[in-house]
Amino acid sequence: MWLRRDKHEIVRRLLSAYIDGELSSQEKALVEEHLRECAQCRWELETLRHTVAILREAPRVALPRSFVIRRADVEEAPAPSRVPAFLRVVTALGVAIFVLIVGLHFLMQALLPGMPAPVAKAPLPERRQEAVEKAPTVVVELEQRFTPAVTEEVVVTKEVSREVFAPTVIGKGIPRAPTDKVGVEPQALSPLPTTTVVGPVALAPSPMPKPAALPTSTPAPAIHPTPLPGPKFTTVLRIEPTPTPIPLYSQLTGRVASGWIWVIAALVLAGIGIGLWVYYRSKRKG
Amino acid sequence: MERARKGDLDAFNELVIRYQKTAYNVAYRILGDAEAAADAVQDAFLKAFKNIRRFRGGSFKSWMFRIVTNTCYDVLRARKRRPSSSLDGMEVELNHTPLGDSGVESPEEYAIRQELNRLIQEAINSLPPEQRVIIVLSDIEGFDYREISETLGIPLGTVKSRLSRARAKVRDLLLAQEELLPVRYRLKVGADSNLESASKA
Repeated sequence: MWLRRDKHEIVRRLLSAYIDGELSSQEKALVEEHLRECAQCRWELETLRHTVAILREAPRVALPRSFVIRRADVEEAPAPSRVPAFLRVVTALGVAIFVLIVGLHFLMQALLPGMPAPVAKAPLPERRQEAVEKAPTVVVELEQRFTPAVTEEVVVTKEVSREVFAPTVIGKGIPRAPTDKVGVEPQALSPLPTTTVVGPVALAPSPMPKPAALPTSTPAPAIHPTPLPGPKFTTVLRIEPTPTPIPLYSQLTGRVASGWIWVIAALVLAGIGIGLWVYYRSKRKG
Repeated sequence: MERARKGDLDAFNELVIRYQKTAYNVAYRILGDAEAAADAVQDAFLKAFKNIRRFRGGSFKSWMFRIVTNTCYDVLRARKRRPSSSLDGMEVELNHTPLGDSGVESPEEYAIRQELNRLIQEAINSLPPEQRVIIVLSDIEGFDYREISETLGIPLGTVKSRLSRARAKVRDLLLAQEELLPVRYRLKVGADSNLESASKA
C-alpha cells in the first residue's frame, strides 16, 4: 500500500515530462503501467495536456515597436559609465591615502612609545632652515675666538655619526646646550661621519666661550673642555653626541610626510572625489 | 554572427530582428505588462550588444534569452520592492494571424482570444518568478528542455520538476475559473469532478 502510494507520487511528478516525451524508456514504462491502474493519474495527465494545449494557443502579442538598436543609443550609452569609474578611482585613492597616513601615524606612535608627538613639537621649516644657515658661523666664531690668544693645540674630536645626529637636528627640542657646551651642529651635517679637527686655539682653562652667539634652538652635542695641568694649555675638545633615543618616527614624518600636510591633501582629494560623485549622481537623476 | 561579435551594429541588428518578437512575447508574459516588457527587451538588447564580446560561442539564442529573462527578473525584483497599483499594460494588441488560422478573424473570435489571453496571463502572474519564466519559455514559446536548461543555466532535472510544478499550478488556476474560459478551452475533458477534488486533496 505504502509502495503504491509512493509510486503514484513519482508518476504524478513525471507526467509533465511524459507529455513532452522527455522521459527515459524506463520512466516511460513506469508511467504507462501506473496509468492503467490509476484513474486519478489519468485525470491529471488529461488536464495537464489540456493546460499545455491552452498555453500553446496563447495569443502572440504584436510588437509595439522595433527594438533595433540605433547608433545613438550605443554611442551615448558608455559615456555615463565612464565618469563614475573615474570618480570611483579618485575617491578610492583619496580615501586610501588618508587611511594610510592616519593609520601609519597611530601605528608608529603605538610602536614607538615615549615618542613625543612629532607634529606638535616639530620645529617649523623656517627654524630648521635658520639652524642650517647659522651653522657655519658657529665654526667661524669658534676659530675667531680661539685664534688671537696664545696658540695652543686644541683637539676637537667629533665622534658623531651623522645618522644618529641628524634626527636630533630636525626633531623635537632637545635641551639647549648648557653654557659650557658649544654647538657644532654644522659639523654634524658634514658628510664625514667622524672627523678630528686640530687647530690653534686660545684658551684659558676656563670654560668655553658663552653660547649666546649660537642659534638657541640648535640642539647641540657637548664639547667638554678638558683642562690639562702644566704650563701648556692644551685643551682637548671632545664633542659628544647628546645621548638621545633615535627618533625614527620624527624622521619619518619630518622628512617624508611633513606631518599633516599629506593628511590634509588626502582629505581634500577625497572631498573632491566625493563631491564630484554626489554632484554627478544628482545631475544624472535630475 | 561573427560580424556581430566584433561589434558590428548592423550585423547585431539582424539578430535583433530575428529574435525581437519572441523576446518581446517572453518579456510580456513574464512581466504581464506591455510597457514594462518593451522597456525590458530594449534594455536586454542593449546589454547584449555591449557585452557581445563575452559571448563565447554555443547557442546565441540561449545567451540572448538569458539576458532577456535576467532583465525580466530584475524588473520583477524592483517591482516587489516598489509595487505598482495596477497592471495597466494588460490590454495589448494581439497578432491577427494566430497559429492554424487561415481565414480572416471575426471580431467575436478576436474577443474570445483577448479573453483567453487575459486568463492565461492572470494564471501566469500568480506564479513565482522562476515558474513563470519556465512555463513561458516552454509552453508559450516552445523552447525544448535543453534550450531552457542552457538559457536559465539550470540542470535538466530542475527544468522537468520546475515545469511540472508550474503546469500543475496553472491547471488548478484555470480549473478554478473554468466558467470564464471560452467553451472550447474548458478543461473538464472526460474527467469527473470527484477526481478533481481528489487531486487537490
